[in-house]
This record gives sequence, C-alpha cells and structure tokens, in this order.
Amino acid sequence: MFSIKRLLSGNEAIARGAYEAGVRAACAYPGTPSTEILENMAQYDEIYCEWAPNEKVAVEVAQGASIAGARAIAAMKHVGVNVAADPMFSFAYTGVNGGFILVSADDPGMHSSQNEQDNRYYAKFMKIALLEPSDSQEAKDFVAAGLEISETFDMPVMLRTTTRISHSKGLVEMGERCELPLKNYEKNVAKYVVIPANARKLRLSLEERLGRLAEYANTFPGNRVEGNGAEFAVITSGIAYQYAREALGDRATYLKLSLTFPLPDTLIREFIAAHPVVYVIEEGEPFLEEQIKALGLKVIGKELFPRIGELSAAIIRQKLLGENAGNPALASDIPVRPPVLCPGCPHRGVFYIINKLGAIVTSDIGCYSLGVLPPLSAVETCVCMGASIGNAMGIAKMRPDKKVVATIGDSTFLHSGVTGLMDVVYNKGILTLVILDNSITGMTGHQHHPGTGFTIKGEPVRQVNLEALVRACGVEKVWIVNAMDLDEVEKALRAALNCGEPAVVITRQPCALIEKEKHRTGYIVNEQCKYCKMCLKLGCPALENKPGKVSINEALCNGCGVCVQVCKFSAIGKAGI
Amino acid sequence: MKFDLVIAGVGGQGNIVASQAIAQCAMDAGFTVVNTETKGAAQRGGSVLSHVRLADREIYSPVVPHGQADVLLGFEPLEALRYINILSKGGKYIINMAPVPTILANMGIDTYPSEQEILSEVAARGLTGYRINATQAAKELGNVLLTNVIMLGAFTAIADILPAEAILHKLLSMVDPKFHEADIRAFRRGREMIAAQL
Repeated sequence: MFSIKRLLSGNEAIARGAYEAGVRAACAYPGTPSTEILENMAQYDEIYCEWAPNEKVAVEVAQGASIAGARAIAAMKHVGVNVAADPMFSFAYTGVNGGFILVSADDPGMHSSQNEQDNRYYAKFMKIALLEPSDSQEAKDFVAAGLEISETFDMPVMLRTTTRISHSKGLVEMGERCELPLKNYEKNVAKYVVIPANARKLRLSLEERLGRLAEYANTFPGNRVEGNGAEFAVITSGIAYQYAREALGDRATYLKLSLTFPLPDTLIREFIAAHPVVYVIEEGEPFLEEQIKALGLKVIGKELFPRIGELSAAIIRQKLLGENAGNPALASDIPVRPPVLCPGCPHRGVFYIINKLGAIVTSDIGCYSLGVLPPLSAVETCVCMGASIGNAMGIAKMRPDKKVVATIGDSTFLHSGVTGLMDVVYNKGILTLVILDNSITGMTGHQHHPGTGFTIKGEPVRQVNLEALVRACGVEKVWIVNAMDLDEVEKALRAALNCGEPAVVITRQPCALIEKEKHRTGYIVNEQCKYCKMCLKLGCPALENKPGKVSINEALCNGCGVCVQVCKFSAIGKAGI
Repeated sequence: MKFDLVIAGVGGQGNIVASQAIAQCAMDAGFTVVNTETKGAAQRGGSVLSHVRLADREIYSPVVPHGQADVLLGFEPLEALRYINILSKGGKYIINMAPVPTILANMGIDTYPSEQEILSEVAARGLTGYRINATQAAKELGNVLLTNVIMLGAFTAIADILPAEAILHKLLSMVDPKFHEADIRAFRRGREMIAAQL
C-alpha cells in the first residue's frame, strides 16, 4: 500500500496516534510543552475533547471514560502530574476498562517551567507502565502500543516525552482510524471502589499485573539491540538515544529501551554480559541506571554524564571521545534576551501601580511571572499553580504589619486558586487578591477555560462569573476595574489594601495578542519629550531608548495607551493627531 | 549528503514560518527532515532558535550539534552572535544587521554590543558570510513583517540544496493569498541583495 508521510511534531503525532487507535476521550490542562496534544486532538469529531480546569480533573474525566469502556488520554506538562497524582495512584490499583494513557511532557533545561523533575520516577512510584518515545514516529506508534498494554495488563500507561520530543518535527507514516466499540460496562465495586477492604486485594493484583508486564518488557519490540559497533556499549532511551547515535554513530552497540518501567531485566543482563564496559546514557536523573545497578549489574552513568539540563551530542562526544566542539567561547557575556510582557499587555500597568503600594507581592504561574523582571521587578514569589494566594496568606498571618498582595491570572485562579481564596476568608486573612483577568490562558497560547465562554472546539457555553465566584467564597470587598486605566487601578488597589478584610480586585482587559488582531492605532512620541525616561519604567518593548529621546517602534506598539498615562509632559500622542 | 540550517531571531520575527517552509519543501523533495525550535515563551519577545536538518539518510539529533551548521540565518545581529558557534568552519552566515534592542539594554542595565564588536567576534572565528539589512528592505517594500521572507529569499541565493522556486511555492502555500504578491517581491528582493554581493 502507498504510504503517506507527514512532518509532525511529537505532540501532533500523539494526537494522530490517539485518533488512529480509536481513542474516544481526551482531557488536558494546557502547559508547555504539552499543549498542542489536545489542540490537535480537537480537530477530530470522533474524539470527545476538553480543557479541564486542572490536571487532576483531566485525569479523573479520562479515568471515567476508561471505566465507561472507552479508550482515553489525559495530557499535561510534567508539573501537571503533581496535581493529577492523587487519582493516578489509585488508578494503578483499580486498573482500566478502556485503555488509558497519561502523557507527561517533561521539560529538561526548563525552557518554560519552574523545575526539571524527571517524571519517569512517577511511573515507578505509581506502579504503572512507562513508555519513552525517541521521535515523532514512536510518539504516534506508542499511543497504540500503550493502549494495548493498558488493556492487556489492566493498568494505566505513562507516555513520557520531553520538550525535544514534543516540539521536534519528524516524518511520520499516517494510518487510518481503527473504530472500536465501547467495551462492556458493568458495576464492579471490587475493582472501582478503593475502600481499604478492596484496596488490599487490588494491591496484590497490582503486583501480579506488574510481574506479567515485566516479563513482557523483555519481548516488547521497542526494547531492542541496534548497531554492532565495537568501541562502546550503550543503554539509552528517549531523546538521549538520538544524541548517543548522533555522537557515536557506528562506533557503538545500543540497547535502545522504550518500555522502561518495568525494566526488561533479562534483556539488560544479556547485554551487559556481552560487553566489558556498558554506559547508560540518559537525560535527567539516573532512572535507568539506579534500577540496573539495583539488579547487581555494573554500568557507568551519571559519574560521567550530567543530570542537570538537556543532554546533547556534544556532551557525549566530549565525555566519551574527548572531543571538544572546537569553537572558541564568546569573548564577552552577551546580553540576555529574556521573554517580556508583550507591548500592550494588560498586566504591565497593573504591576506598575502595584509597585507604588509598598506591599509584599506574591505571584503565580503565567505570563505575569514575567513581572519579576526589570524594570517592573514587582513580583516576590512564584512557586506553582495557585500558590500566590496561600503564600500571601502565610505572609499576612506572620507579618500583620505588612500589606500583602497576591497576583494570579484568571485561568490559574480557576485551576487552583479558588481553594486558596476560601482559606483566606475562612481563616480570616487580611490581604488583597488581584485577579489579572485577560479572559484566556495566555502563556500557553490562548486556550479556553471555564471562564471564557467557549469549549476547546469553539462551542459557546456558560462561563464562570469570577465576581460571583469570589463573592460566593465569602469575599465582600470586590472591585472590577479596567486594567489599562491606571487611575482606576490605583484607586481600587489602595481602597482594597486599606479595607481591613479580604479583598479582591479583578483587573480586566483581553490579552494583547488577541487585541492585536483588532489593529488599534499606535502612539508616537512628540517634541515635548524631556527624556525623563519615566515611560521606560514600564518595560514595554515598543518603547526604545534612542540617544537623547525615547521613540515608539510603530511595528510593535499596539496602542494600549498605558505609557500616555505615565508621561508627565503629554509627550505621547496618537499617530497623525 | 546532509544539510544543517539554524535560524536565530527574536520572537515575533517569523523565524518559525521560514523554517517550516524549508522543512516542508525538503520533505516534498524526498529528504529525511528533522526540525525543532526553542519557543517556550518566544512569542513574548525572547530569543528563538530554529533547527532544520535534512539528509538523504537517517538523522538522529533534532538539534544541530555545535560546529556543524552549514548555514546560520541571523534575523537579528545579537541573536546571530549568540548562536554563532553552531556554524561549521566552512559554514556561511547571512545576518540581518538591524538590531532589536533588549529591554535591559533599553534600561541601560545591559549594553547592546556595537556592530563592530559583533563583526569582530564573528571574524575571530574565521567565518564568512553576508550582511544585509532585511528590515530596512522590508520597510521599503511597505511592511516590516516581510523581513523573514527577504531572509528566506537570501537563503536560497547561497544554498542550492532545494530549488528557490520550490521554497517560495511552499511558503506561499502556508500564508493567506492576499499576502502573496508582497511575499513574492520580498523573496526576490532577498535573492537580489545576496546576488549583489556575490
């Protein structure tokens, strides 16, 4: 048969793989580098897709679909699995009905994350099967293989990618969808109700299921020996396999592992017995290495290769071949170019005002984390989704003499901020919560959430009313202001901080990247500019510091008008007026 | 045969569209293609690097190893300098000599290097290539957003791995027809700017 190949990212390939494998339900909360999995899945009418409010809900909905007899997937970034861990641990006990895959997209090198936790340990900890694709083709193939494993061994399967798998494109062979009927659903409390009496039995069955899977791992086609180079013997998995082959080529023999929990012990023993020295090359933590050493086998791993950051072919060449890349280092430290709040971002003016208040400012996960960077330098903590509110509560309780402001986005508030706000009211905290409401999940590229009024497939739906929600939590002092009107923002914030009780200020304006499409007229700097550089304190990329004057880059300015309000000399006006 | 390209630029410059046009075109031509980019928060004005690797055999790492790129397209001088070490000894660069200041340089916290400093760092490596002002040319054509298309056209003037017309057609297939006329002009302009230096 004539085969069709397409250039797909790992994430696109996972979506395609789910479609072809007859998946009927897919749930996620957006997070780099996982977001495009659900975005691509949403194009298929055959798959029920949803943006869940958070990863825990995503897993629970997908689990429900599995119990109902459908093949299901939940996708998230690595730290999302922390949120979803609770249902996952029990899911290992209950097992599945329709096959279930948890996609964990890890981020070594922290391109867009707060840590580089290696989630392969979660598979071992949860006692579920672990698959590590090493390119887009495998990302697609392992969805089908994973669902087969899930149904055969009655357990959830983790499909673990890294940024370079999720966001790299390679050629993928396309197939047709295999339409599967729903599996039979029967009430089965011994399987799905994990009260202790049942859980104790499920605990035994879990070990039995894992034992059978461990035997299968030795025959899984994705676990295989490749090449026959005589100089090096290498055990590797995931993206590290690509770097190892790039670096060592035909000089090595590779034991390429794909089903890496439970490990294929027989295969590994045979490989190590056949080679005098064996290297374990893996990105991140010594997940394979520790387990291999626990088998009583000798390998060389992290004593040679770094566990921090991304691995590369260059690192492997340097460590095993003694080759350096050859190029001299750059003579000087060249200026960094960190991401910044966009021109016209509604968060900018709010942070500018917050800076005037002398408060302790906690923050959260989203574009507004960028408020930490100079010149705004407004943010003092950023920990994990929703933490701004709990952190602010703890600070306010211990330092009652200080004003405390928590800042959080609308999507993050709905993800896991609401419980923190209940705590503030319930335990009589005195602080001001600023909900930076840009009516979208901004940082990950504009995904809908329960507050936007649309589903992932663009269907209009009822939306969560943030004001009613915070009032329902017991907050009585609530202000809703235009984020671009600095006077209004300042008045509301000062009143909130001085009201002596829990207060919420909702600052509203759509994300600048959405507003940009509406082509607002830009601004220009006129001859009244005294070069006081006040406007530069906003850190807007459209404002450029030229010798002796500030100018506005017309291509970047999107006309938000915040700089106009900051300028004391009326030196900024509409172009052409 | 293998060919490795990297494109260094600033989020929003159209770096990824350019790399996709080349990658898709290479796939149509029957090459093995692997492509990746660092784009985590790139649309928020950060540094972006795209990698396109093509070969007539298997390719492993999606990331072009240091010292192996055949061509570096620098959409911005500071970003070209940041990734200059990815170029191979015999590789060629094309740098758009229009600086995009960083926020910290705007604030006077960092100093944006002078053109001379950037060029001497590049020259110290014995590397050769071309410098054009694609941003200026794009403005002359009426839209600064054409910068990436000019750079793509310039690329086809120094790399014959894929036919220029095929890359242009692939690009046009990826954008709204209302931009086609401007894109064709920009693409040709890029080719001419390099031809004038050959």
